[in-house]
Amino acid sequence: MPEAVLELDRLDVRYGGVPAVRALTLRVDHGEIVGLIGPNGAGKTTTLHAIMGVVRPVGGDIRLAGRSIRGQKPERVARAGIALVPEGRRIYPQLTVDENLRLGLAAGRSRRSDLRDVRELFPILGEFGRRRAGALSGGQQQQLAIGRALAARPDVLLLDEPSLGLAPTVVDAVFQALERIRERGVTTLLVEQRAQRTVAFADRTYVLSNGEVRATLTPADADDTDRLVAAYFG
Amino acid sequence: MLQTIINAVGLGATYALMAVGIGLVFGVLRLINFAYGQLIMAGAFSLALTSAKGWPEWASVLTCVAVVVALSLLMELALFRPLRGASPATMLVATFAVAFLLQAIALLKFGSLGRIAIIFPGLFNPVGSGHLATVRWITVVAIICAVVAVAGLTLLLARTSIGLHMRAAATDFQTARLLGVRANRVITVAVVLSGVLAAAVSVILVVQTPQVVPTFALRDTIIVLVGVVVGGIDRLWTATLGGFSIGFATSVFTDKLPQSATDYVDSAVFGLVIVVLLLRPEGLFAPFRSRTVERV
Repeated sequence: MPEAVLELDRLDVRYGGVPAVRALTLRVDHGEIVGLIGPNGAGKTTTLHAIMGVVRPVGGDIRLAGRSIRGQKPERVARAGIALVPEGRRIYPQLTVDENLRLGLAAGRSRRSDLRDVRELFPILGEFGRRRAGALSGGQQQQLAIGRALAARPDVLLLDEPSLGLAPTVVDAVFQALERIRERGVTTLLVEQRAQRTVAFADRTYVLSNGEVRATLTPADADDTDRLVAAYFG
Repeated sequence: MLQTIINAVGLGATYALMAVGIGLVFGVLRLINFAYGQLIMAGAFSLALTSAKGWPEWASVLTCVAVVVALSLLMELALFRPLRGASPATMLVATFAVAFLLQAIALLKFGSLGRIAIIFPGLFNPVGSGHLATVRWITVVAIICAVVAVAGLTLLLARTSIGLHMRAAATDFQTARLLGVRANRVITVAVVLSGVLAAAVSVILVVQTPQVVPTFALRDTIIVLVGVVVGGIDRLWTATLGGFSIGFATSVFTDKLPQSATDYVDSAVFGLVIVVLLLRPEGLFAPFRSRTVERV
C-alpha cells in the first residue's frame, strides 16, 4: 500500500450544534493529487480549515505522515508541512510580490534560495517581483498565492477553489500551473467547484455532500456525466 | 518664533514616540492600550526610586527600560493573550481596568504627592541664550530619540523577516498564521518595542517634570490617543503623524495664547479634533480612496 502523507480519520466538525463535516475519512498518498468536490455548503472549505487548525474538530483525527496534528494552531500546522492556498487568494495587496513570496518562508521549512524554484515555475512572479501584489491581475495573483504556498516546500499542498472568480482562459492557466506542480511530485488536496475538470485532473476525487463522502471517482468517470451528476447531486 | 517651533517639534516628537508605541500594539492586536500611560508612570517611578538611592544614571535608565518592558510583557501574558479573540470593546475595557489598577497601586504605595526623580538635570538647561533661552536640551534629545526610533523601526519593518511578519500580521493575522508566522512571537516583539518606547518617554518626561505622581503622563496619553485616532489609527505612520501633530499643536497653543487663556488650550485642541474628525473621520493623514491598508 502506498505511503499516506495526509489522513483524515472519521473527522467530525460542527459549527455550534450544526454538523459541517461528518465522519469524513480520506487519504492523500505521496505525490498524489486528490480532488474534493461538492455543492456549496458540502463542507469542503471546512475540511481544509480543520486540517489547518482554523476550526477545531469535535471528533476523529488528522494525521500528517502518521502523526496527529488535530487541534494544533495554524502556524504549527504550517510548520509541520501543510501549506494552504486559501479561497480568495488572500495575498497581501499592499506588499510587493517578492515580499509576499518571502512570507512563504515563514513556515521555517525553506530558504530564500528556494524562491528561485518558485520563480522558475511562475516566471511572472520574477518579472513583477517589485510590483505591489494588488496591481497584479486575478490570474497572476492566484499564481502568487500558489507560489507563496510552494515557497514553504510543503509536504502537502491544500488548494481551496483556485479557479474561483477567474475568467475561463485564466482558469486554463491555473490548471496548467497545477499540471506543472504535479510534474514536481507535490502531494496535493484540491478543493474545486469545477467537478468534471477536477475529476479528470486528479488521481482520485472525493464527492462531498452534507459533510459526508458520497462517492469516490477516478479520471475514468470524468466523461460519465450521469455518474458525475448522480454523485454530485445525489 | 524659532523657540516656539523647536519646543513644538520637541513635544510633537515625544508624543510621536508614544503614538508609535500605541500604534505598534494596535497593529498586531487591534487593541488600543489605554494603560500605556501607566507604563510610562511605572517607568517614571522606577527612575525616582533608583535616582533617590543614588544609582548611576545609566543604571536608572536600564532599570526603567527593564521595569516597563517587564510590565508590558506581564500585561500581554496575563491579559491580552487570554483575551485574544474577545471583542475590541472587551479588550479596551480590560486596558482601562489595568490602567486604574496600576494607578491605584501607585497611589497606595507612593501617595498623591509621589516622588521626585532627579535624572539628567543638565538636560533641563537651555541650549542657548536670547531666542533659544526657553529651548532646553531635553527637547533636542526628544527630537533625536524620535528620529532614531522612527528610522530604526522603519528599517526593522522594511528590511527584516520579523518586520515583514509584523506587517503581514497587522494586515491579516489569520493568513499570516496560516503561512507559519508565529503569532505570539510577533505580538511579543511588538509589545517589547512598545515598552522600550514607553521607557524612553518616561525618561524624557521625568527630565521635564521631576515630580512623579500616580497620574503622571495620564493627560499626555489621552492627548496622544486622540492624536492617534485623528491621524488615522489604521496605519502606523498616520498614527505617528497624528501624535506628532497634536503635540505640536498643543505646544504652539500653549506658547502663543496669552497667559490668562492657557486654561483653554485643551478646549482649543480638542475643538480642532472634533472639526478634523467631522471632515476626515478615517483620519487626517489617511490616503484618499485607499481601500487596502498596511497597518504597521
